[in-house]
Amino acid sequence: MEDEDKTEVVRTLKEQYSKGQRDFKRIDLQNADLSGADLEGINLVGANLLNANLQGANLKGANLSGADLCLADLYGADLTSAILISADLDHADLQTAILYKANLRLANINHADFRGADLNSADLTDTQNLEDADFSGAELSGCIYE
Amino acid sequence: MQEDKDKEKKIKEAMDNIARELSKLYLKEMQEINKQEKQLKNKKSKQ
Repeated sequence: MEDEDKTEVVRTLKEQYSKGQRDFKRIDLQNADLSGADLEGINLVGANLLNANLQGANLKGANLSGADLCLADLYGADLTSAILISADLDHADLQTAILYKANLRLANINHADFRGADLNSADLTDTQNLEDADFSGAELSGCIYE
Repeated sequence: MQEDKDKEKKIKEAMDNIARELSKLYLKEMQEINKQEKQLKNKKSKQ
């Protein structure tokens, strides 16, 4: 999909979201610019967010289960109570992101960057490639790993 | 044949358990490092 088409997809998504639509399962948002977008409670299950720009986006309570977030820029994004079960966060940038109470069970976090992120009470049970993620300076005191 | 499959399953389970334990240890270590770094920073800022 061309960049122009992607801009149109983003515009439509924001428009529908503002009208109360929350279900955007399996939407293709590869390389899309959603920086600073207010997407609280959105359903992006199985969405393609490869290399998407979600810097500073509000994704509180969003469902991103099974979403492809490889190389996504989630710097400073608010993912409080977000569901990221089995999401692919390979090389995603999550620096300073808020992941308080987020569910990352079975997510692939290979080389994901969590530096300075808030992972208090986040569920990291059975995350894949956890050892290859960067948690420097991250708030991990209350995170769960059963 | 079934015996081999059972054996394979057991080995896989054991390996998964080891990986899980290693992840737990890694997280614990990171928690401790970050806690200590935070304390050090606080100490420095107070001085």
